Amino acid sequence: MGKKWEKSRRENGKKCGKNRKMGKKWEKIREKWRKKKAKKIGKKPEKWGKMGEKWEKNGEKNQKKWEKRGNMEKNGGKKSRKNGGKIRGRKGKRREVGWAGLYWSVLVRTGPYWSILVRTGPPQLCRWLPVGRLKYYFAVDSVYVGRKLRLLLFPFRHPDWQVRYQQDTPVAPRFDVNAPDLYIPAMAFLTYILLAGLALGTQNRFSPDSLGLVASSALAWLLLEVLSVLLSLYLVTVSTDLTPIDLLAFAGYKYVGMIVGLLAGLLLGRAGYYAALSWCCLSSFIFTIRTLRLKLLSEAAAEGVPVRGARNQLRMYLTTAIGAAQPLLMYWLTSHLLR
Amino acid sequence: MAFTLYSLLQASLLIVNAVAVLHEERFLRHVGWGSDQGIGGFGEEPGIKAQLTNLIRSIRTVMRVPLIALNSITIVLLLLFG
Repeated sequence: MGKKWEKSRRENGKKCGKNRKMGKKWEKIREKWRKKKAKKIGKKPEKWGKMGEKWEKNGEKNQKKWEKRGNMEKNGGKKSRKNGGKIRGRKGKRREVGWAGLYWSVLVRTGPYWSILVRTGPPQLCRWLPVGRLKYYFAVDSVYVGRKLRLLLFPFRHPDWQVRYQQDTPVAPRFDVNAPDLYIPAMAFLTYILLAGLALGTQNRFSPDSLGLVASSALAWLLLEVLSVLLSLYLVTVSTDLTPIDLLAFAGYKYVGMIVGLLAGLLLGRAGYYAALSWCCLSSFIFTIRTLRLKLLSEAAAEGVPVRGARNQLRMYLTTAIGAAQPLLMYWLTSHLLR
Repeated sequence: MAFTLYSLLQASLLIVNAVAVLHEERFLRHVGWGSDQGIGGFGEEPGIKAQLTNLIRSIRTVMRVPLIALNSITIVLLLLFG
């Protein structure tokens, strides 16, 4: 292989000094290894045979690597020749590897070991973050995403809101459209930030830190909502299987409506914004109430039969309050962007 | 809209400080929110007031020492960086 590369480079008449020399150097090293192998293989046949093979393979790999690098420089060869053979960037600046390059090289070289870590899971992380549970929330496919988006924007005709269970654990979102996931909220959150930047830009109000401000403000509202829902669930002593990640998912679903409202506002002006936002507020309200009703209220009340008792009334109020918080937050987080 | 994560952190630190300052004997007993007042029956689930009282007591117990550390760090950082 080395001879072929040499020939092609010679044909084009380009010179890549250092790397071709490196190729030659590896050729010499391989020769030395071959001699060593031939000499040692008489003494201790098995051990040196294997070592020799390993050296051969390494030598081949390294030779190929240096030849390839020589070829790559050949393609930028004009510039490298002009600057005295050194590697120069597009604007003639010397390409600095710097800390980022160092970090990247360390990351790449430790690559094989990362897979081992990920498979077994670093011990501290497993204690604080339920990584296994997190994987469940991202097990989605495009069919689920399409159905869920349609459900978020039009929840009025969906007949059955119960999450299907499979031997005490809820089924992955891929198989059940009612299961909460974290993919849609995460994507919707990022899209909302980008759209906010777009909205600010079209009104000449954009600056790089304003985008960061919008992002951290939205994140703070999200955290505040999840924490207050958790607190109110604790105070009302509802025994439910809602985890904080579930609540994060439900809180993130309203970003879909916000994106639709923002888009309508950007394209169609104030009237379009109000129309789209009121529709999305209504559907988000109904969606939240219908989803949380099954989880928070007792069985009988969830069926629709009005059950007397202060406890159930309190839970009903709680569900309604959580549902009502969604349109309020949706309006609050988008109205200042479309002034 | 300057509601950032930092202001959320500040507000939460101040609120936790406020809850930690509520003294059990001198204040909560008089209001009726003492930890030994009105625990209620055994089988029934506690009402909101009992839950709140429990929450206040647990925050005071748990956060006493970490609050010292957090407050000192915040004071030093605010002195240094304004």
